[in-house]
Amino acid sequence: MKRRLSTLAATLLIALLGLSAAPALAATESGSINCSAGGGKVGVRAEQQRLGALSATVNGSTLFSVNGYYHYSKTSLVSSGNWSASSNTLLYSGTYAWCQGGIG
Amino acid sequence: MRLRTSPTRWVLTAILAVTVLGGCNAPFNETPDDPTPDTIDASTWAPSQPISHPTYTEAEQLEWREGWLISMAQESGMVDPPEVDLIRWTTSMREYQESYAECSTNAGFPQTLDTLGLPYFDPPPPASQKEALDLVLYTCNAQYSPLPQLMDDWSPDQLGLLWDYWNEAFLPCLEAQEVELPDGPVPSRETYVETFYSDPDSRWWPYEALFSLPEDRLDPVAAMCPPYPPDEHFYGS
Repeated sequence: MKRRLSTLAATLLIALLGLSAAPALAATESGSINCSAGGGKVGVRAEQQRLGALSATVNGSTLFSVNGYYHYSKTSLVSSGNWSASSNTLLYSGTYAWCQGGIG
Repeated sequence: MRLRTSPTRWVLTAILAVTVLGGCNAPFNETPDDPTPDTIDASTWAPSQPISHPTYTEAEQLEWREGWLISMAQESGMVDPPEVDLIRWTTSMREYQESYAECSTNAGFPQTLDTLGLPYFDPPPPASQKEALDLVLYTCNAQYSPLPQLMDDWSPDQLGLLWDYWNEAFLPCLEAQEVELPDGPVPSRETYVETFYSDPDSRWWPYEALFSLPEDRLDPVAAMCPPYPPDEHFYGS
């Protein structure tokens, strides 16, 4: 039992050291969306918990890359595709893609 | 277009009435002889209680800039970011965004400021250009670095001032422009300030009502009803 506890403590210690040594990684939310049925364009809204760089791409093209704002929204020029948004403190609940304009 | 008829609207109407009837004590431009709602210009709003802003020494600014650029390089995955001289500090959010967009444009990645004053790529750079784009954006941020107070997380005083601006000027301005006000309850000032960081999922962003406007209305409405208070009050610059 004692040995198991030691192993557990060592594992936790390694995990903690690993966490503290890890570089800050940008959190990313991504997905795909198709707005072509209604003739709309893909828009991306991204939000972060703390101020820092906030960016979004659609089909790999950078849609925006801003500093100093908690959230930003922009409509792309395309009607469907893959989108992503990144920030070190991305707020997932406030980050999504939508269809702007079009009918239906 | 449906206008909200909830008690919140009555509160906003009351605020509007008090402000308009306040005559020469009004904190922003209305024409006293013509108190119709469409004379509200929220861009001239000023707080009744100015807030204090942090100050930094030159050495502190440079230290902050170094850390900010290191963080930016890491986020972009830049292995060996170049040494870039500072051309000048940008001292307001507007100046920073304009300089950033102009620098990026001159380097081959055109950016335009939108109605809200934020830069977007026009046209979007292709994925194949990501490394070159990251280097340009890093360089532009290094050359025209913002003062640290522009990039600091908003303080409780700033959040309170923001709440004041939205309730005293922005929302009445939208209503005067017959823009549909955002759904949902308006948090109290105290709740807004206290929960902004502890409960970010519930943040209140009333200016998202602007995004529902057709393009031909967005520009004139946003010019009359800017989504944020003037820089000199909010950032002290």
